[in-house]
Amino acid sequence: MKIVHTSDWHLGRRFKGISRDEEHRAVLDHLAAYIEAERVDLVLHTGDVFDVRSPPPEAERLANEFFVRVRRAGARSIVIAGNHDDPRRFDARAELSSYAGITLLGRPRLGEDGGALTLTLGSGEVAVVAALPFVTPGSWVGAEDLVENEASGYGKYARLFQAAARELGTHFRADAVNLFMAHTFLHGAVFGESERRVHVGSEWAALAEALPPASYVALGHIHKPQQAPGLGTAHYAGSSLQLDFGEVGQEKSFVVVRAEPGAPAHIERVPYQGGLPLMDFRGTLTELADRASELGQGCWLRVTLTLREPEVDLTQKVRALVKNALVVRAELPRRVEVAAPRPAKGATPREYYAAYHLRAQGQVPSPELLATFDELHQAAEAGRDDV
Amino acid sequence: MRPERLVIEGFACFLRRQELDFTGLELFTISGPTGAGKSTLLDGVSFALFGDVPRVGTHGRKQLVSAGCDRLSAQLEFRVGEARYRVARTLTRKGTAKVRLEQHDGQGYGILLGDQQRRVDPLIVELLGLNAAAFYQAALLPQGEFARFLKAAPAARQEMLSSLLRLDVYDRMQALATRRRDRLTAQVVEQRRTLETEYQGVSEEACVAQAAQIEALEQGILGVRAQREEAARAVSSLSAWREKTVLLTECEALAASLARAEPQIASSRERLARAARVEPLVGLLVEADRAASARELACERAARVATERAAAEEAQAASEASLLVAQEAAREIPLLREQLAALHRASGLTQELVTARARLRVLDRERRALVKAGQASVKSREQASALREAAQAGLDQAAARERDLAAALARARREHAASHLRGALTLGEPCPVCEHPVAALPTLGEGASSQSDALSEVASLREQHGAAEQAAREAERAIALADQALAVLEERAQAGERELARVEAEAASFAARVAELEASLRAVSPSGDPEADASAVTRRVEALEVELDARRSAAQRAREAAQAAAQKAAHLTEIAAAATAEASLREGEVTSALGRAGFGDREEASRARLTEAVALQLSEQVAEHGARRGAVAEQLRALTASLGARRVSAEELREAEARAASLQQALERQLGELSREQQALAQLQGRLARAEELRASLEAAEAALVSIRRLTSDLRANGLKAYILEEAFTELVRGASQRLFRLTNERYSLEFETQQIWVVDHDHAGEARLCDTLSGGETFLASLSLALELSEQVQRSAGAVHLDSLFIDEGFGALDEDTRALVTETLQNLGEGGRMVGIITHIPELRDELAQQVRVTKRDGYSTVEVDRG
Repeated sequence: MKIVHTSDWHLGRRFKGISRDEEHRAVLDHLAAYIEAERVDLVLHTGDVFDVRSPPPEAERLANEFFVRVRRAGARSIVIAGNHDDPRRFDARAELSSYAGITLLGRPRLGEDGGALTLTLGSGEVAVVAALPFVTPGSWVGAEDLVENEASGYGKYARLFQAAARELGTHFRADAVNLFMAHTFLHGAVFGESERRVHVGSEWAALAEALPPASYVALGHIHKPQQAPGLGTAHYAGSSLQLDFGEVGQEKSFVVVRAEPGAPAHIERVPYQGGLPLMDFRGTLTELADRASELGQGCWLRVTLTLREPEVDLTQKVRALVKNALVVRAELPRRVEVAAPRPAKGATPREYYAAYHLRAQGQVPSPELLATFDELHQAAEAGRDDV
Repeated sequence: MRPERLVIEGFACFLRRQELDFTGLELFTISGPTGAGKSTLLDGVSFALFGDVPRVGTHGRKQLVSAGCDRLSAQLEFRVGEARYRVARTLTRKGTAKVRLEQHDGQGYGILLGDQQRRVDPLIVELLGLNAAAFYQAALLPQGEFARFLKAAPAARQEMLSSLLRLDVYDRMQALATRRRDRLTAQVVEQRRTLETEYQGVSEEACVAQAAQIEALEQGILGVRAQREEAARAVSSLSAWREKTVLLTECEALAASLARAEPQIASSRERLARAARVEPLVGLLVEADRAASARELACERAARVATERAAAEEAQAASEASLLVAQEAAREIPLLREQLAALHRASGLTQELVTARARLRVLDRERRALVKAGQASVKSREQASALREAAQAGLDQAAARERDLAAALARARREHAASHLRGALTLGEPCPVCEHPVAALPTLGEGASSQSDALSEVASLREQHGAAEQAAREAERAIALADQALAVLEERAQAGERELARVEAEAASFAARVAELEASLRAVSPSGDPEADASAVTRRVEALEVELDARRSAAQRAREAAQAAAQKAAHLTEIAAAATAEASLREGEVTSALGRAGFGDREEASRARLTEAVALQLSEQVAEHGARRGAVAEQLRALTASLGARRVSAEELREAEARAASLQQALERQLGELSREQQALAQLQGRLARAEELRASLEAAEAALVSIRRLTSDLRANGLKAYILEEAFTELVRGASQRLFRLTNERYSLEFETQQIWVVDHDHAGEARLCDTLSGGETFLASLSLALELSEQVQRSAGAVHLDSLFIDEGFGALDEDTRALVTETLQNLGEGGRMVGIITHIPELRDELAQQVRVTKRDGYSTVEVDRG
């Protein structure tokens, strides 16, 4: 069977004051066309469909239209909630969506409760999909666990993830294409700047060993398209657009999987089309002006200008040259600060006084002076009236 | 501090008990319509911990109690590190507050740490490391407060920071330093002055000079002392000789005086002899005296008794005279007795008189009644006659009527008969009356009625007639009755008159009797009351008799008394005569004895007597005199022997003593001077030491003064404090800037330039904007960073426990899309480090972004809390 794995669209995202809806539309259009043309059987979306829990209507429209289109093309879709999605909304819409052949999973659940789905295609092929949506650390690990022993808290999360994954995996069948999908951070994955840090981080990593044996493991959450460390058939699809300037240069692609029961899947990556790349420019204003025509379109720009001295109205000047500049940074030569020695952060009053004295009188205070200072300070702290 | 469970009741809008369980909440919103009580929830946390809500202040605390409740209660279970605590407070409307703090012991909140405010409050501050104000700054970031800090004027910001970092300690130090400086200055001035004035001339040389002077003085003293010793010795020898001289003179004088006393001694001897001669006579004298006095006594008694006798005889005469008088009076008695008898008789009369009078009264009453009755009967007779007359008239009337009616009846009958007859007439038939055949029917006369009419008329007339007859008969009967009555009345009247006559006759006779009795009574008893008169008379009789008896017995007694007195007088006269005889006898004896003893008379003899004491005294005197003369003579011999010819006069001695004395004085003077000089030296040395000390202390004080002046200057508000503030401020902004940079994914940072805080937008070429030009969302982000940094600083300066929880009252209105995305991201990043972050907001988009929500709603006047753990 033919499977398309896509993930991390972040529909509705507002980035540096611009909407990416246009690009999303183009990308989804292209993807839907591909699915139609290639007669894909199954579409797996591993989470972060939307950027916010209450997405704007336009974003919802984009997603709905896509999934209806691919359904019309004959493909089934399974979508799990990512950390940006509201799992309850997904579950609320699940029944309605199922009429359109779209399976929505908001909260994680046991295999028999719908966490493991068995699909029989028209061709008779059977796929068993074990789907584990994003689990907030807070759901599995309480404050007490963290307080007692941070490491054990993290370990607990990993263990629970492993247990959930294993349970779901028990529903795999030898005569089916077994697929596992999850929205999680796997230890060793490379992440960029746009993933939410609190939910990312090696602390909450699940271990690759936790993944159940499947023909293909579809992973979501990390925006850089990559193969998951340690296991050949596990992939992060990555985001559909370059979402942040940390992803400059990344080629975004979705995963096309051809799978048969009992054999490892064949995996191919197909680039997304329709999104504008994010680009960095670094140079002077003049250099920018020179390349304005080339840089001023077909991308979103981060302009870092190297200046010798501060200039006014830089943003206006840059925008005048390139309208697609989202971020304008000014880089000035480093000033060598000749500052009087400052007391360190959290200095004692005595140290403060020594520093002040040095600055005011040009010399360190005598030990007697310091001793008197200490005496006065203690007396003042103790609230005495006279000393 | 991480809250675990809050329970509030009766707290402001939370009328009913509401529970907020924080377990499982990490990053959540507190949402609800305006006024539902979102901020009040946090007030509840604050109140439970500190018993205080800074928004409301201590004085407004009582207003926190919900309307309709009499008390509020707030209970918070919280965790600090690994320890778990529970604090519960109640506050009544009147202001009574109670508190209770417990610790979890593994099974329950079993360990009581305190239940008194003065114990619990400091304990909580200790546990948290923050007091209420600092807690507010660090953990409960309130609406608009941190924006205020951002936009405040430099002076206000400095003040806020200054109080937060507790920089007022430098002000206190300044005050202390100033005080110390002033004190030291005064001390230095004083010490210098003292050294210059008092310690002038205090030096080593002065000491040495003084010592030398003392040395010289000591030498002089030695010389004087030697001289004085010599003079003293001379004085002592001279005084010994002088003593003896004096003594000799004394003895000579004494001997002379003793010789002079000789005659007196001789006379004493004589006296003693005479006294000896008198002694034996004493007894006789005593006897004679005794007899004389006995005689005196007897004569006295005899005289007294004679007087008594005379008196008794007089008394007797008097009493007999009065007896005669009484007897004379007693002759009246028989007359009186007669009178008394008459009176007694009279009393019988009195009785009769009384009875007669009574009867008279009764009769009088009867007479009056009868008169009245007579009058009444007259009246009734008159009435009865009238009645009778009326009845008679009635009868007459009735009879007349009856006659009339009879006539009418007859007439009517005739008419009736006529008509009847007429009816019975038939032509041709014989008339029933005259038996003639009827030829023609008569016609009825005018006014003749038909048969029936005639019948009825007859009938009615008959009736009337009957009635009239009846009436006449009745009238007759009435007359008869009236006659009867009249007859009765006549009888009665007559009887009454007879009675009246009788009564009047009786009354007259009784009246006569009464008059008789009264006359005879008056004859006997003038007062009219014989009883009283009788008793008066009786009394008089008694009195006379009593008087008589008394007089008789008195006379008797007087006679007896006179007799007795006469007897006694005679007896005593005898005794007196005997006593006189004896007395003269004794007197004779005495006179002869006195002559034999050589005394002229008794006077002389008694004068010659001496008491034992006196006699003893005189004999002693005589003996002593003799002894002394002997002793004196002896002493004289001895002294004359020892002195020889040498005599020392008082003059000589005085001269020698004077000399010795003056030498002694000189010595003492010089010794005094010596000790004074020595004291002066000691003083001088002491002062020298003190001067040295003073100089040393002055040096030290001057050195300290230099330091303290430096510090006083440095501690001025624009000195060290301003420096520290500046540093703190710079640190604050720098730290906040770093935070902001991180929170906004490197978009914004802060700079502190020219007393202002600027926000740098790195996405726009580092454009710096003043805080008042920021949008709502940007202000929120900037002030949030400042507040977080401030919170960190506060904790650090207080050494507080790391706050595991943070509550933000978001306090801005709508957000534009871009800022909302940024704010959302920022908020998500806040949850770093497992810190619990609660955000009060009423922006729905913001609320939706965070999975966990605490919803506060108000209905029916009370607020409720619901937790959605996502």
